[in-house]
Amino acid sequence: MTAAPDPFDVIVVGAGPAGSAAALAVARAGLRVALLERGPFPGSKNMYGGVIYGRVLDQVIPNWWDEIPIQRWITRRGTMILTPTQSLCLDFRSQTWAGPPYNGATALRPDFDAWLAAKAEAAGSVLVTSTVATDVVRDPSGRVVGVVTDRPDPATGASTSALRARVVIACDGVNSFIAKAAGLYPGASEQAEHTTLGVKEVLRLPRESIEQRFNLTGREGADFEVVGCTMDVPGGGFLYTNLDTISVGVVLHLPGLAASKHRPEEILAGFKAHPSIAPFVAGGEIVEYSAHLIPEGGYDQIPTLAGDGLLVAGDAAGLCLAAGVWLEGVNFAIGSGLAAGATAVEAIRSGDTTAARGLAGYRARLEANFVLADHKKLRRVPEFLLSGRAQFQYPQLTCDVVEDLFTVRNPAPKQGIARLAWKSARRSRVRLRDLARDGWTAIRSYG
Amino acid sequence: MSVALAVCWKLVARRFEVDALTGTVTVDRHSLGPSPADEAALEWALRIADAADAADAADRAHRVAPSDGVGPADGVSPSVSPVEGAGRGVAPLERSTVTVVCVGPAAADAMLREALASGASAAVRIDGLPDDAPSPVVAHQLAGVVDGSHLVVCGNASLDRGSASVPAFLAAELGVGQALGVVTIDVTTGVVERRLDGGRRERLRLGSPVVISVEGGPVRLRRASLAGVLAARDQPVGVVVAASAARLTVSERVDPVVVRRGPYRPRPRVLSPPSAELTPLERILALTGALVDRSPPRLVHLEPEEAAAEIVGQLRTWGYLP
Ligand SMILES: Cc1cc2nc3c(=O)[nH]c(=O)nc-3n(C[C@H](O)[C@H](O)[C@H](O)COP(=O)(O)OP(=O)(O)OC[C@H]3O[C@@H](n4cnc5c(N)ncnc54)[C@H](O)[C@@H]3O)c2cc1C
Repeated sequence: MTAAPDPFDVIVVGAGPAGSAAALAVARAGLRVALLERGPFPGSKNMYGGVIYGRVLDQVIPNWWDEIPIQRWITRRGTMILTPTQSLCLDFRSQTWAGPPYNGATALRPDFDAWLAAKAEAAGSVLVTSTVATDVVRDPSGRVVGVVTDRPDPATGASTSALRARVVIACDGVNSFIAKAAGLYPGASEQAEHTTLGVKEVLRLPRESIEQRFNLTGREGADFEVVGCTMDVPGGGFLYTNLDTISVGVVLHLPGLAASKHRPEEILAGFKAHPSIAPFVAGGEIVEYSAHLIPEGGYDQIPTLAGDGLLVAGDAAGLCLAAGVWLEGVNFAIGSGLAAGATAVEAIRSGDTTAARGLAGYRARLEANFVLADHKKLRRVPEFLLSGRAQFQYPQLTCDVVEDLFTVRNPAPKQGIARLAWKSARRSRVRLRDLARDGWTAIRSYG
Repeated sequence: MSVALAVCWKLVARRFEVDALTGTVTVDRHSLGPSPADEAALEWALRIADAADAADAADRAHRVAPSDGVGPADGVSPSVSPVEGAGRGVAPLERSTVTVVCVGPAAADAMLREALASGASAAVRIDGLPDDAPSPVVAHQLAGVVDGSHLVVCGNASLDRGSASVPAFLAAELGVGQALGVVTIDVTTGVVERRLDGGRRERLRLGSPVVISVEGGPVRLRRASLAGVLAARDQPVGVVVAASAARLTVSERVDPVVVRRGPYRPRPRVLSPPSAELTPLERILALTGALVDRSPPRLVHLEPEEAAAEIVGQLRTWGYLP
């Protein structure tokens, strides 16, 4: 173990959005911070769907839109419901989103994460890449005082070495080894219950084809969120435009996937072959295939956020917001990372890094901003969205109603929507009681 | 005696895409770094430096207490060195040095710091040459910095253009011997093994000074310690402007001595593809040679010694043995 005096006040594990934001906050406050990243550069190991909502950066990087490495600014948002033979799309477009401060943007993680980490470095953080934090180091009282890394220690000949600091911020993503090592996570099966698997292909197409297919010009981009496209597995799909590639993927509930006979790549292939999706992706050359877990449990599954000497942020803390029309993880990671950084600074300055006192302000900070406020408001959504009704019955019911509405059956006269809905509900075996209860959940969550 | 080693590194893109239609190469700017062969060059240099210093320390211990039984084992010369001539005489206190030299842009500094983190003692970057400078020009600039080293280790070929010619030009520029395409190095004796054309290999004993180029596969660069990585951040990278690279002091040339040259090993036979007119089954038969008349396998029952002689004789007939 290295004998040198602590060179850092704070160690941040993971240079994803949460980690770089945390390191940025600590470095800007003038404290010494190490940002450890297991990949050869920030973003090298990271995958996600593709849309980043940047307003969370307003406070820390003014006019971030002038420099953020994006692919396209989202001006078109589609929410699609699919059944094997039908599709219904709420397709919205706004030119307001085509100029500052913008709304969302597609970005590639190797570009975005490297950019944000460079901001943290410019503020004084020490970025150490190709380095895995394998465990936490504790003092005799059990307080976390550093991490063990997979870099050798020439002094002892050991294959690992320790780095010590007063606060460790775990930003190592979903299924955080650091939070687990610190005992902050629930059991594995409970964790799996609230986790989905995202599988994504990046398809290369000529830029003009993308613009023609998605009806875009210049740097405009499109974002489609889809439900009802994952065979017998609860989940969803997405389709995003980059500059000269498109990202197409599915998100699959882990227990459902385990119980299903279908493999993820088969479900993704089925999604791509759907008549409403196939024309968008036709002829695309696969340049990337990746898979990653997503913590989708929401507010009720968020683990303990602080231990003595330890804070947890971003996906490591299960803070990704997966609420149907919204799949937002990067902004929640940045928001929580900034709060964790600020809390660590405060705690170190006060000389108390215990969970009960010095670091207690972290949760309060998150409750006071969008991170936990949004999660709290939408706490019932994850369970509802992954339920059989939301996944299979309602998409069928909705598409059937719309199909009946638009089918002209002359000489039979047209039927009223209420009657059509009643017929479809019976056909898809939806019980009124469930419909009413789910409607109420939706109103309380989204209303 | 401590040795002064120089290692030449080039900044290359380690991931790139080639458009099959136009041949356009798109590099992944996140993948910039040394080629695997360059990393191997540094690893060999560090091993050689470690071995020279260990021999040095052992030599000094031996001189202080020649008969206390704690020194090197009998029969092992305490002054053996990877480079002939190094390691002899009174042991000074200074340690061997490994200087990594790169002709490249400022973007190469991060890569050079990785070399420092792994154990290189110094790094020098030669600035001001275009990316596509020809090998003789690159070698000339490198020579100005590495001149005076006991041993210069280069990667066999860079990942990008990879003509494998810089080490040879460098040896010519310095007027010293060369051993190219080295596969392994015995760091205590200074004997290297390298590939020759036609799958042959030869062993060479190196003189000094000498330029060698090594393959990327046989060794991997050691993992830098955390302390090394942190210290390297503050270590300076010397920058030399290309035009001002120093003139050389041409030393007397010591060529490597061939210790052993392996036998010719025939390459696998190339089979011409069977005619497309044939059915799949006929094509497979033609390729495998199944069901075709041939000289039948010879079954011999012999005593072990005779059997061995028979096998050796057959291998000789086939050209596997000289
Ligand atoms: C398929 C899919 C689609 C998604 N789509 C979107 C979307 O469109 N928009 C959106 O906002 N979010 C999306 N998300 C969610 C988003 O990707 C995450 O919420 C976000 O990346 C979380 O950021 P983070 O910094 O907490 O973790 P990560 O981005 O996972 O970063 C963790 C970092 O820690 C490093 N690391 C891990 N372990 C160690 C260790 N032991 N030592 C050192 N370093 C370590 C990793 O290499 C990585 O760099 C999606 C996720 C998936 C999987």
